[in-house]
Amino acid sequence: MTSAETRYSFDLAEEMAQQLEQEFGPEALRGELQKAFGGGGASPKGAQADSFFTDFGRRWMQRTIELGEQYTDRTYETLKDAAKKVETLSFPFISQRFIEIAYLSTQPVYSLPIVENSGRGLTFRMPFCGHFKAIREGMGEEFADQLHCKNACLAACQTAFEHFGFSVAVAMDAAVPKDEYCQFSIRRA
Amino acid sequence: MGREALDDMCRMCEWLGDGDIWYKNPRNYANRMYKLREPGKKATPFTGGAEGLASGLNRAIQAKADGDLETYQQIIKEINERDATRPGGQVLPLQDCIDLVRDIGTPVAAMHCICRKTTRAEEEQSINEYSCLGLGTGMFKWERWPERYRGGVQFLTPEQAAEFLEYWDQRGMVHMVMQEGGDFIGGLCNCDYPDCVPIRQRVDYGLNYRLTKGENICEVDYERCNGCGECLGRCQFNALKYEATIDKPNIDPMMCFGCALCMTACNRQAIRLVPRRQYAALQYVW
Amino acid sequence: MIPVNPVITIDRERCTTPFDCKRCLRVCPPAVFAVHAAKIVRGVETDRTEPGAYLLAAVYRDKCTGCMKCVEVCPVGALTVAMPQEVRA
Repeated sequence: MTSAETRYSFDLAEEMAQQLEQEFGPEALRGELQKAFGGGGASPKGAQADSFFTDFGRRWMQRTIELGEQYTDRTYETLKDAAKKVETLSFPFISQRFIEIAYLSTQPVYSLPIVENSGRGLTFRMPFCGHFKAIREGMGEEFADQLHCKNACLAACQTAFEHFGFSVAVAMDAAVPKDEYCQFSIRRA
Repeated sequence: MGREALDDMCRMCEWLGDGDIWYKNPRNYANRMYKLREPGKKATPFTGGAEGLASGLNRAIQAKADGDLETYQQIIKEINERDATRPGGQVLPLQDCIDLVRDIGTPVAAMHCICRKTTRAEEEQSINEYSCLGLGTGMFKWERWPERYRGGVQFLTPEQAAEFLEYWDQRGMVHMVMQEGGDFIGGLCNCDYPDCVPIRQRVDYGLNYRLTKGENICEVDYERCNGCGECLGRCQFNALKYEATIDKPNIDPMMCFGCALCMTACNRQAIRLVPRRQYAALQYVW
Repeated sequence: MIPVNPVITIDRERCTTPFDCKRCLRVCPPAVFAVHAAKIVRGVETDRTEPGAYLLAAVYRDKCTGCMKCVEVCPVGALTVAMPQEVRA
């Protein structure tokens, strides 16, 4: 008799999720915004705000990859093992893992809504963005609704694929507050 | 295809197709890898089909075997009414299967067939024996339920998966997509009667929603057919027979599931697929 | 006459490892029998030689013709197949 469950965990490590939440969750973002732009009432220039979020997204994903590799799990090990034998499996699934970790750790969702994950690419949605809420609260609705924050998600997705050697184009197909969710599509470039 | 086409679509295409055939829609294969446990929410236990022994169908069959046809029919009617509100499996031809594993149905892993295990106590332990394909990121977690994936799994390249499907097609197996949990297509099966539970439930007990007919029907081109009979014996749905009067095979379009096994056995390309919706009275026959 | 099928009894005291044995499941022409793990445990592959780990059932009894092949092949004498009138007598 074998018992995989007693030997391995297939789930994400809670410790890792907490660490990421602490460093890149909505509260952390609010703090960084405060530090960079002085918070409510301030209106940083578009380009300035865009590069702030691009930087935030990149660091968020870099740290996710670092911790995600450190806190591996059986699902990831099985995926890596499968990808060694079937090369086509690395795309998009390995990057998907880290995107899931990044969002699950910092967003108020229990699972990431995936719209497509196939050899063509990855598409997912973020329905109740905690970061967006924090930006509205910290910087006001007008600034938040300009969606400079999309650069964080675009950069995070880009980083998640680039890190594993995939050259991709990331597009935003839908966005709050107009739509009920943000949707990002990653396709091979 | 516009909304007006909805009438002649099967219910899965209507609900899950986004205007096209549902099993060609990548969304129906999309799956997350992780889930955080919601506070207070318990994990749903995996029963592995053991509940089937106490299922409505089992009660119906026992009633039928005891001669109580009224109870039998009543239970079947109730099951059908419930099934009509949910997605089920669907038959599809080999070429659609191959397109699917080449493109959207990844990851794909070969594994044992749970029906053959249940019905004939088959144990499939390696790629030489596996006869089913599991789809989706859930396959990366197969070790969580070793009994469900008894005998292990093997991840396949799209080319290997296509070869696998071709092999089982040659062996006379009907292909079907199986959905799990409502809208997620988790399996691409190679099936035959009587081992296959969905085929049996439909053919023997009229549980028509458990297995929907394919998008097409097969039609004989009598100009090309030379009556060689290679196709005979391939049909599992009692649709194809040899017609002595014309000395050639005959396919009953009302009975045909569009599995295309007769077509893939024909060396003269004398059997072709025709979309169900092309015929006025067939477009509602699912 | 309303068609009826034989009553099939499985003595689970005797039939303890049906998935390991397989004989009746394989021999039955209309595939009347089904075998299931008694319970599916996370992380565990059921031991088919453990008594009681798998259960046999005559699920598709409406297909049973009373050919008795399963009774003949059962190594532990766990099966009976008889028409209802014989069972009552």
